[in-house]
Amino acid sequence: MGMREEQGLEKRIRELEATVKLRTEQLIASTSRAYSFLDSLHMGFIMCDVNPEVVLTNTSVRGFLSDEARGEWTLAEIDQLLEPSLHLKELVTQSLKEQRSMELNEVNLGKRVLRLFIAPMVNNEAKGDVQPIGAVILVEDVTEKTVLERSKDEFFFIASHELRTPLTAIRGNASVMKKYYPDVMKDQNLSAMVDDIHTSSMRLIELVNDFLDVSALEQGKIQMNPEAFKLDDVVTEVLRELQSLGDAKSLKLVAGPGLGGTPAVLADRKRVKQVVYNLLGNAIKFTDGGGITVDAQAEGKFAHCTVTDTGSGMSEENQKLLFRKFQQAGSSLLSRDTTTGTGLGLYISKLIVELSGGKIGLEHSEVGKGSTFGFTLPVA
Amino acid sequence: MQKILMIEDDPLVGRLYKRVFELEGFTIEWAENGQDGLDKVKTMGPDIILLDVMMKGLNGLEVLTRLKDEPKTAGIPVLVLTNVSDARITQLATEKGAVAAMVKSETEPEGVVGMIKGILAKAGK
Repeated sequence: MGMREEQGLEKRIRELEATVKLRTEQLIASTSRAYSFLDSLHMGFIMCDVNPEVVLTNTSVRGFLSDEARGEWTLAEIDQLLEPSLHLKELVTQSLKEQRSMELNEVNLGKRVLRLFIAPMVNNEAKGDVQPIGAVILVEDVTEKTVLERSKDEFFFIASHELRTPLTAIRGNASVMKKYYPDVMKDQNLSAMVDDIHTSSMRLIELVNDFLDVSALEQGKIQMNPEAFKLDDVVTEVLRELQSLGDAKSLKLVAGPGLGGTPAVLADRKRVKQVVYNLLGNAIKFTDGGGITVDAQAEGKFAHCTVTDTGSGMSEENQKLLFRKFQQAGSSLLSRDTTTGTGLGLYISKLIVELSGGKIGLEHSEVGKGSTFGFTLPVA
Repeated sequence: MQKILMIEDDPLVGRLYKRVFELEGFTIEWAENGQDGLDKVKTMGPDIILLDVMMKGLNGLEVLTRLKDEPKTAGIPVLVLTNVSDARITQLATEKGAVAAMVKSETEPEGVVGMIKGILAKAGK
């Protein structure tokens, strides 16, 4: 080897060493950036290999697991801290095997409530049959959120009770006066006043019920109990219950010919009755002459129920306002018709139908001629 | 005369039902809390019990459990009257042996009277 070649080689080695040094520094810098990134997250982070065993945890998750500093955790150790019914290691194994992510809500760890998200990690640059190279577990501390949610629940539970109790006494006493004290009630003024007290208490009870329904439905706190039943039966019941209201306005309430032939639906019967009651009740309220027809027919996997009235109808502008909270089409805040209810009925109906897997809407309306409202429910 | 024991901690509601049942010709005794109710059931031997749910101290469901656990009182029909309209409460009450559960604000006093008469007739009293 000549002098020149040797010098050339040495130069090359020095260049290589410099490159290695630079790359190592870059690597350290990027690794420590990744570590600081993970440690600065509020969310807990656990990285597992394919075994699966813990490779890396961040500061947040170590804080959730223990108040004291200690070495790296194993999955078995973490499992022991979590509620007994939960097997974290098995879940991670399953997530890796099935290559799918999973979410666990309300996991208890001592006094904390956590939400866990487990996801397999895949190397995107690998070609062919891509196997996970490990899994990540993201851990969110939802303790405060959960406590707040629970206290909201309790609030509605107590509010419903505390509001209804005095209303029960007002309603009940008014009705006892009417029934058991006919001699006193011979005074027409007194009798009319007692009637008003009774009606007012009923309206307030209805209002309380609507408010509670809305908040429970919005929060998804209402348990739906689906069963198979015929729409026909529910409609007949509602028609019977609202007959006197219809009679008072000389309206003809009709069960349409399609009702009997419609297959049974799968939904919460009590809640569906509430929807039919609401639609028919509205139709009676806004119709002064003619009649209302409730009908139904099968449409594929759904039963389609319609309520058609010969009432006032609505302009297109006003139609847009329907199904919103507190909305009566066309009413400005000060010109609301407060005698006809809270304006929550259609909104509640919409929440119920949608929770049951159906749709609800205004199907047709013409000013001065009437409207058709309809909803669908899945057949059983 | 048929005897009703009413366990109800709210004076407004208690006075209402006491008056109605007296007007209807029943003998009614009013216990103002759960423990009072459990004591009175022994001394009075009611034909039927009207039971409130949300009460300070022993709540209605706890009272119901004790009534049904005690052979001497297990056979007395219990009608649960509450203002908590939560399907879970109604279900729990009937599971624990109540004949029925009614929401007070949804029922006229007449309706409660009718229900009580119906239950007593069924029980052959």
